[in-house]
Amino acid sequence: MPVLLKVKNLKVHFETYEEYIYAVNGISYTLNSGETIGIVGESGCGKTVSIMSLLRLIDMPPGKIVSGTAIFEGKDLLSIPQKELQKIRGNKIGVIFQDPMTAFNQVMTIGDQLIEGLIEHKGMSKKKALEEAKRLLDIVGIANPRERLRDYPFQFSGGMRQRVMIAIGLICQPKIIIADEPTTALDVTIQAQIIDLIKQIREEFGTSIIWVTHDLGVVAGIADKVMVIYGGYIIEEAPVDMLYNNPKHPYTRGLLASLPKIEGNDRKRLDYISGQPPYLNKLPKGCPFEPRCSYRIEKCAQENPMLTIRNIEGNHRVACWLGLE
Amino acid sequence: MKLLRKNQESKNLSNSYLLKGESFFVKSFKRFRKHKLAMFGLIMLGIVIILSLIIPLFNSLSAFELNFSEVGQRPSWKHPLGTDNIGRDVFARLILGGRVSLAVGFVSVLISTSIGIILGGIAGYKGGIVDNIIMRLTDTMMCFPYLVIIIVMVAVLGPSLYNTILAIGLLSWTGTARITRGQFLYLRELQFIEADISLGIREGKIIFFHILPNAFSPIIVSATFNMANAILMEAGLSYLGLGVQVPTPSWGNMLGDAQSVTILEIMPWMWIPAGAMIAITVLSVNFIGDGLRDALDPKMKL
Repeated sequence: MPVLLKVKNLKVHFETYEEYIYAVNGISYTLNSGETIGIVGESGCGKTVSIMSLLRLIDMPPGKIVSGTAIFEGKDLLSIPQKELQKIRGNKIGVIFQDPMTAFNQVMTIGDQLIEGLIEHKGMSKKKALEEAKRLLDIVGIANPRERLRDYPFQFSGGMRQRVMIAIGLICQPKIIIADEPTTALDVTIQAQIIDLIKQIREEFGTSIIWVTHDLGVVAGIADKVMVIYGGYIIEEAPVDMLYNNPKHPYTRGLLASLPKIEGNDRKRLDYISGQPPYLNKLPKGCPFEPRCSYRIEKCAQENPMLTIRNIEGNHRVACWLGLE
Repeated sequence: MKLLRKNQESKNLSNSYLLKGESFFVKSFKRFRKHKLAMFGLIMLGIVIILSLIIPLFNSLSAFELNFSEVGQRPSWKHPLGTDNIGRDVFARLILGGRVSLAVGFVSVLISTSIGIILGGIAGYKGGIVDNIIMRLTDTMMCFPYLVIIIVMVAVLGPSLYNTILAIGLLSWTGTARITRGQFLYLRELQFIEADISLGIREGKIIFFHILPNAFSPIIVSATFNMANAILMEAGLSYLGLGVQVPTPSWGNMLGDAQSVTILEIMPWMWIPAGAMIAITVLSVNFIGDGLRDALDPKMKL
């Protein structure tokens, strides 16, 4: 599969009056065309910042991209001028947001919000764009699409709004879709529907997806490759089956152990990882996970393994001093 | 394609649950209609506007013609509201003055609201140093005693109807600018703006087609109150002789013409109608403003 997006050493920091936050501290990965990457991690570990900064959708200032490149179609997304980036946003790279309740303009009809991208990027006439919008609404499973184009967002339920949002993200047939926790605000049955929908769309359009979530179950169902982020670093990256069956990093192990299991009947307490995720106002000297890690050795407090992420057995990368089996 | 077929099937099932589309403004108008005082204000203002637009077309009496044989006459069939101290028909002047006062109200509000929206919008959307500069300018404008500035402006430009409109319009945008800025500061942080940016929509389009409509309610309300103020201000300026100049009538300079004690005492028809019209118009506009504020407030569900 050809490489579609190559992110290298991305660092994003926030500088406010009070403090300096090291949100993302040098992450690198590649996205192949047609591939789905899942990015998982706790709240505040830098998941959202790491992908939103690709399209410069974080507030700058206080945020700033300290270093890194993100090569997409031969151009570096992080350094091209704003005007050029605007032509890529929505057109080549679409975004699906977390909360379908707030991501719509309440005073515009769904139709008007759907067609904007088409008019902006494809130069379509309004009439043609509305035809296309109708087709998209049909694909994402909205009944009576022609009538519903004239409706306002408050006339849609949460799940339907998320469907419409997916339609907006898809409308220009982007190569990549960035999905920022698109199912978090929905209840479980709707979640399943949305995931099915996105899978079907992926098959039909061949879109690559970057899916950010803290729900390991969702990721297992949709991703080809999973990256686990902790403290602004990628700590483990592997094809989805490899990661779930044979996690190498103590943190990943902890996460997987804390999930409730369907099989088995032992009603024991769920495992948990003690302690808090690090507050990112200073870079740790050693491993950011060291204070919470039950496997820690002396070296962990001295040297940061995140800086030298290792490749073990093919596509499995892990940043840990221990070679856990 | 399998997907499409599946959706076609489910399509036939659902129709009845659909809410019928009713836009925000349709709803707001329904709420507005329930506000009795506001409806009263709307009707009164409507009457004033229609009268001042239509009557001059039919009225045979001139607002300008001096008739020294009919000076200071009481109201009669010939002169419904009498004549003034130099023989002009008060009714004709009152109606024509209404045109002037309303024109001042509308046009100056148009000017002040445009300035307010543009400056407040830029300040609120851009933030940072741009915001600081624009808002300090606004604060400075607010610090000046407006009457004094208007007097200076009119003195420099010369008193006339257009200069009055300009002076009022150029000075009363500060409130609107502040309101707009506040709204923009709040709205630009919402996720749908981020969603717009992520769609690659141009900045100008975002400001004027996405944020502005969301900020419209408070702006409309403030524009209404500004209009009442502008009418009052025009009356005050004309009364002082700085606004609309004779022979063009306006309610303000009609009051100004009636300043002597003799006229106040023995010719009340020269000033009561003009004063009453100012009061009625301003009151109506304020009632409408009240009604709009209630109707456009999305948190109010009447």
